[in-house]
Amino acid sequence: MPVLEDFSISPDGRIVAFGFSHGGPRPERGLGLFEWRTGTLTRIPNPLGQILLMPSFSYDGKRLAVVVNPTGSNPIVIGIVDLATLAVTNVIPETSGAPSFPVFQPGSDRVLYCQREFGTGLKLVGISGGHNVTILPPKNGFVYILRPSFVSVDEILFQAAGPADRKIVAELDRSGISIGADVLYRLRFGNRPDFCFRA
Amino acid sequence: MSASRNGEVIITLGLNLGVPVTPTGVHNGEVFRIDHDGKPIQLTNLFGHLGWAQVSYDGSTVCFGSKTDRNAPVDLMILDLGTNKVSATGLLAKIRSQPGFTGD
Repeated sequence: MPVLEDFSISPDGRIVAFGFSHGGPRPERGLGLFEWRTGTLTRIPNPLGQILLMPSFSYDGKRLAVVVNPTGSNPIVIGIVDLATLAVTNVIPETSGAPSFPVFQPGSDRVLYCQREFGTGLKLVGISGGHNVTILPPKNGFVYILRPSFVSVDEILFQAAGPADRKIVAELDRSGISIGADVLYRLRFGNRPDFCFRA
Repeated sequence: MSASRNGEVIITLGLNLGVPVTPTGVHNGEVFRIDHDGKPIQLTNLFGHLGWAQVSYDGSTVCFGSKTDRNAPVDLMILDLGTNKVSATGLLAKIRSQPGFTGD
């Protein structure tokens, strides 16, 4: 029985990228594209010895940012899928920790991703070989962060749980919200995360 | 949670405002839009098990996963934010029969 996961919709709402997996005698895991109005279905081939996960569209709809998960001992990296050719380019040759939920930054050639390393933080990396920029250090981050959404070039919204920041923990406590609950946060780059909405 | 261009549309999942949990303890999931004051507005009446809601950058369309009960597989649904109409896509049945996805 196939399992579907990690849906991501194109900027115009026409195409859904998705993850799938199934067991059986020949197990498969990877990504597909589905034009839901026409029923057109396309498999994105996994590079040899690697599995593609967690797709997210670029703002022009021409590329996907993905997680490239090796089947061997190589590190997990971020990849870019060119939707014209379905070719995959890795953009982080070496990294510590486990990157997840890559999303394009609007108006730039950079990708934001979650980095799990004794806590989960946020980093930006240039697609054309730029160096990593830490937006939220993992030690000051959360137990987990789900896929962020940009609301401007330097501001994101995200759902997360288990904050390390003592001020956030104290505010959750005062509000009667469990530290382990999913809460919606806003982060302007260069600042600390804050609650997205305040009563 | 997912946001469209400039955060104009913020979409999340939550429990049905009328019947959040059935008498047998089953959670009834729905798609919500969060208004600019942070107030959740329920957009669906699916009483479902939902996941992975994402709104398109142009704010027109939401995709999400839904299953009819806890043991059923997830399938792809589409919510048109212009009409609030939910459509089943049949993606799961389609990939079951497509060789590139089955490994056959």
